Order: sequence, then structure tokens, then C-alpha cells
Amino acid sequence: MKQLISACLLVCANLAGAYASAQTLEATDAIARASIPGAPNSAAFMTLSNTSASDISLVSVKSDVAKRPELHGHINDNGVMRMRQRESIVIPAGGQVVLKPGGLHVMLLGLTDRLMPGGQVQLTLIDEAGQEYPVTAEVVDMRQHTGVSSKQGAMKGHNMKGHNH
Amino acid sequence: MKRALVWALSGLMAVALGFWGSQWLPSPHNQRQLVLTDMDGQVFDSLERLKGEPYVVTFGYTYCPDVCPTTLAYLAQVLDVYETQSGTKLEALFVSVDPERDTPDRLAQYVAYFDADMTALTGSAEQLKQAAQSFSVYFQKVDGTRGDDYLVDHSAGVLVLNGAHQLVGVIRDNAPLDDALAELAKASP
Ligand SMILES: [Cu+2]
Repeated sequence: MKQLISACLLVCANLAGAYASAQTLEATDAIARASIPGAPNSAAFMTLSNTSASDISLVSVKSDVAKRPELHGHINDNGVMRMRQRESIVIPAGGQVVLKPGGLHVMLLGLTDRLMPGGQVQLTLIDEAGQEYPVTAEVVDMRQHTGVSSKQGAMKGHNMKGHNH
Repeated sequence: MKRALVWALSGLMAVALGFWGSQWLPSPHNQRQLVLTDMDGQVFDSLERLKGEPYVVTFGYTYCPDVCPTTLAYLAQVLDVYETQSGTKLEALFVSVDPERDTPDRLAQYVAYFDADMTALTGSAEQLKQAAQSFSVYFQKVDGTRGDDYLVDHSAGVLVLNGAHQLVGVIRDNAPLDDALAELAKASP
């Protein structure tokens, strides 16, 4: 965990004031799993904070790094993990939703290129009104993120808010 | 908790069936067996290849975008800690339930990324069915409408077997390290 490369980003919902009720979604700790040899798919994770006064319902995601980027969740059905596309992921007004391994995630099906540690992945989250929230995720070697090693070096939080994109 | 219960129940059922079957079969009723193909394309019969040895096994597939990599990365580290603490190195098997896409080559690359000593196996649909039955695990292809782009639902977690190849423990996903080590310790009492 020592080298948790934290991705920080602020999503600018306020794109040129195009929307009357601009909503603000902030993504922190955005990471994408580095490609595993032999595996054509990957996933991205992040914490989404809705700093606005209304709920934000994400309905899709765009990215050039995968043929099929999708919003996904897992259903743990008596020990069987059933991964399914989600119709929406709602971040309540003033609330947070965590996308993490084994839970909600941005699925990257059919990577167009290998994701190398240290690189970046551009994602665009889209809400039901069609508003777009760009997110930059750092590509990390998830072998460092198993939680086992975190005993030695706990996952460090970081506060680098304020990066504007 | 629910999941642990299901594992326990399916274990009980297997034991019950085993008792029933043991009237005809000379082998221990709840001995688990895998007869599959290894990364060199050779037949892998767990009762022969791992005779008398405890081991751990998990089921999955390389196209698995989240659960399998998470489990394997976690397992590799847990096995490492266990080896350091106990001096015992446990054999680890990864069984692909997706033989259509998981070639021996792909599997070899995949598991080596997590653990150089891990063995990857797969087999025919019938062999995998047998293996799943023997270990009371479930798998089912889903989303097959997009041709090659399907996903596979499967039992998560890691199964722990002792030297007699009886199922003695289960490591749930994201179990705390101490719980995982306690499960592994059951393999070599
Ligand atoms: Cu997914």
C-alpha cells in the first residue's frame, strides 16, 4: 500500500455553464487495475462525492481504453458472485458512493491496449440528464492493494482536492 | 455469514451423499478430486499429483474483471504470510471454469502474475462439472448473447483441503488476514 498512487480529481460539472442546475461530482482515489497478462478486461474504482444539493444518477460511462465500458455491480448470491451491468449508480445529494473491488465498479471490457502501472485512464461518467463528468484514473498494480499488506502501511488518505481539469 | 452457511450446508450434503455412496465406494466419502488438464496440457488428477499434500483451490476465469484478480492477489499474499509464519508452503490451484477462452498458455501467464508457484487447471465441460460437484461449487455462463464477450458467475472464495483431500476450510473474499491464516492452518493440523 506504500505506493498507493492516489489519483485525485475534481470533476467539473460546470461545463461552460451549459446547464442551469449544474451539479458537482468529485472523484477521489480513482484507480484502474493494471492489465494482467492474458486478461483482456479490467476495472476502475473511485470514491464519488456529490457536493451538490440534488441526487446524481449516473447511467453510463465512456472511455477509449475499452470496447465496452460499463457501470457494474456485484450481487453476492449465497457465495456466488454475480456481476451485472447497472442501470444506474445514484450518488445522493451531499453523499458518497465508493466503487471498489468486489462491489460497484467501472467495468472495462475489451481493453484496446494494455493498461500499464503509472499510466492514466480517462473516463467520462454520464448522468441521466446527459451531463458528463470526466475522471482521470491512475493505473495501479492491484497486487499492492490486497489489504493484506495494509497492516504494514495503511492506505493513506490524501487530500489533493482542487485539481481542476 | 450466509455464504459460510451455504458452504457448510453444501459440505454437509456432500458428506451425506458420501455416506450414502460409501456403501459402494471404497474411497473416503468426502475426499475431493479434480481430474483436469494442467498448463502443460497434461492430465492433472489431484489425488495423484497432490497425494497426501494439503492444498488450496479457487475457481474462476481469466476474463473475470474483478473478483478473480482480487481473490488471487489476496491469496498470493496470504499464502506468503502463512509460509513465513508456519514454514509450510501450500500448493495453490486455480481452476478455470471457462475452457473455451482459457487456453493453457493464457492460464500460465495469468496465474504467474500473482504467484509463480500457482498451478492453473481447466478441462472439458464434463470434467469441470465433475470438479464443481466434488467441491460443491457453482458456475454458470451468462451474457452469452454477445458471442465471445460473456461473463461467468461462479462461487467466490478459496477452499482449503487437508492431506487427505477433505475440505476443511473456506477463506471468504476479503477475510481479515488472521481469519485466512486460521483457515489455512486447518490444512495441516
Ligand atoms: Cu464488472
